[in-house]
Amino acid sequence: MHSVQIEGITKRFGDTVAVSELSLQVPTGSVYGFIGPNGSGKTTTLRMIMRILHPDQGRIRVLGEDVTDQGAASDKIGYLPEERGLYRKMVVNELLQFYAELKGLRRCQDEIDRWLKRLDLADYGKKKVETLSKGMSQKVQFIATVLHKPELIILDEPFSGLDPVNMEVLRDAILDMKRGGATVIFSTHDMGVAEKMCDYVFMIFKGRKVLDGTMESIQDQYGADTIRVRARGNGDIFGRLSGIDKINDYGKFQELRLTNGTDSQSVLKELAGAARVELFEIARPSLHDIFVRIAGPQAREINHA
Amino acid sequence: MRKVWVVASREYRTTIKSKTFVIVMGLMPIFMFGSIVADRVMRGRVDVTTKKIAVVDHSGKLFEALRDSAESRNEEEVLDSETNRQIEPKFELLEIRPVEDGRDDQLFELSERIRRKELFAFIEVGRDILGSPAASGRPGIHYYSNQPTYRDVYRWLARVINAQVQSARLAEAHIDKAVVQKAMMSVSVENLGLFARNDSGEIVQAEEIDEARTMIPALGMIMLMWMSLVITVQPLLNCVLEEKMQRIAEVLLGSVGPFELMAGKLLGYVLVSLTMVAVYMCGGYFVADHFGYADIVPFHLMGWFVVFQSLAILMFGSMFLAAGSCCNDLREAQNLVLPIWLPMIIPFFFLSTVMEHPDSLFATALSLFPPATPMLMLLRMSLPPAPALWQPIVGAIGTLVTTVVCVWLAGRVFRVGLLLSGKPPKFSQMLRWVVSG
Repeated sequence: MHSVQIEGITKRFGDTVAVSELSLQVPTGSVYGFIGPNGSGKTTTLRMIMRILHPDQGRIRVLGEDVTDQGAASDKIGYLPEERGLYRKMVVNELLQFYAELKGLRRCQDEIDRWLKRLDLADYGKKKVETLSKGMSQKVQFIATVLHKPELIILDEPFSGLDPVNMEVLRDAILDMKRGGATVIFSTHDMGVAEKMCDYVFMIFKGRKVLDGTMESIQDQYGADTIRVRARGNGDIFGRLSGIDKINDYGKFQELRLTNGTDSQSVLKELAGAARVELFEIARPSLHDIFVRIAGPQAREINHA
Repeated sequence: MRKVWVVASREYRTTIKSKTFVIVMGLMPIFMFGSIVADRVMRGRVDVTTKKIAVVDHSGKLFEALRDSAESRNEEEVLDSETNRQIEPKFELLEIRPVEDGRDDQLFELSERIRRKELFAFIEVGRDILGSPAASGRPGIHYYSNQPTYRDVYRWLARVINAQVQSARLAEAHIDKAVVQKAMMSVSVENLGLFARNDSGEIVQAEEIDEARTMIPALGMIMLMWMSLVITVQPLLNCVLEEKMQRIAEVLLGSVGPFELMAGKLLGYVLVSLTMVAVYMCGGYFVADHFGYADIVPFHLMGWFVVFQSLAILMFGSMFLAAGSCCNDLREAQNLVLPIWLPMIIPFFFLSTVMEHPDSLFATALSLFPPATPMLMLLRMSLPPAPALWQPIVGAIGTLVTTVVCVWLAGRVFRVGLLLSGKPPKFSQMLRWVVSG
């Protein structure tokens, strides 16, 4: 069962192809992460799922309904766009009531109070939006998105600009909604968050799908070619090692990416001969690493070539 | 429709409760009618310092008559008969002997005295002022002043001198002035309506037409419609700009379709305008009642007023919304809406023509031109003879069709423009949005 089914959609803005022949299936009840560099087509894809934009080609089904050419927004979806704002002169309670009514929910003050309390905003219900801080406004926007208990929640960069405490509060709320049966799609630039929260990760680059699957399947796809090491020795011991494609220095340890076909045991042997090895761990590449491999400057150069 | 109503309800409540709306409601009548009130209030509050006027009388025959007239005026016309308060300045005439040589020097010296504020003005009376106009061939009087906008002295002098000159000419021709005055006495023409037959079959006499009673309701309704239109379309522009600038638009589009959003806003502001009209109408009725004019309030046209007012706001408001959706700040938006103001003010170009000939072919045709219909048809309906019933019906249908087209076109632009950033689109680009959606 899939909440969202996208079949070969393409969206052009003039001569620019924002999304190209994209297909995607979002299983019901999953958390689906959209990642990709700025301008890669994430927001355009989300807007097409939301029926705010319509694809030039292909079809989109959302919650079992073909929405390809439909203009009306669905009450079963909660959407938090990347560019979001609130009516500054409105009182928080009235504002949330307004958004709830737009989604067909009437007289829901108890639900509003419950959410305000949960997100530590209980004292702000009767205050105007203009008195809230940026983080508070963002939490109010989140409440407006989920107040009507949507079946599908689409969040475009929900954590951007939040401090770690508020980020955790919001993350727990999202995971609670998932446990309640909702499907969650969110886009993020924080690879750590995507790795920890998402059942599936989808990456779009230059309008095309480049990754799609569970974290495990993606990591399998990119192999076990990464070694984390900490070693003490003289000079640039890692630079002298053979079979190393790239070195990431994280301070307390170094991450080495092996060239294709290099045996990690031979690297260990070579390293042990040159320095005192304190840590040697064969690791799967992180999502961050995979992201950089696909969209980093090196990849861009290859693409250009 | 539920979502349209939710949006409309929010727009209505937010606007009605805003301080700006209350202030504009109070200020608008002042903007529209303030000059009339100010004119009434300031009437009589004029400069009453005595105006000294020098007279250089080359004829030697006019000064005494002028001085007598001035003294007579100072005694009879400058004081309010009830309060005895001075409401007009007195005129004091000084005789200046003309010099035969050095006329220019004399006139220059008098000009200097005016600059030194010793005099207000001076006149030079020609030698042949009492002769026949054909004989003199040039103006007999020259009036010199450095305050050309103050016309009271000039007008009084012209009137008195002409009276003196006419008397002198009549005397020269041996014609009795009293006979001429009697012969030239004008006859008043009574302005009446038409005879009619009442329900019991009796003929009812024609009633005298009171121009104020005829014009005030007509102009009042037009002004009321214009005021509520102006007060409504500008906030429509501002509200869509706020939603774009504050990044609210996309949040809304997650819950409501662009056309529903636009329709909700329009409906909300139609309700705002009708509230405004209700307030002004009630206020107007109480004022009219206070001055004994309650019977002129045109309640019988209220239904038509509501129809035309609502259509006008939907028609022009949708265009303002479309324009606002394409812009990122107020300055850009003001430029884009300039062409929309033109059809809105067309009725004012032809207001006096239509009022003078409300039943003419031109007035009929213009009042059936949809952008002008709401105001001009209502104007014609409030002036006798009212147009045949088919005309407002056809006008309303034409305006309704135009409104539907405008709202549809605006909706196509609105849905694209709302998510647009960067510089505002060109007209050709907006046209492409209309065609391709």
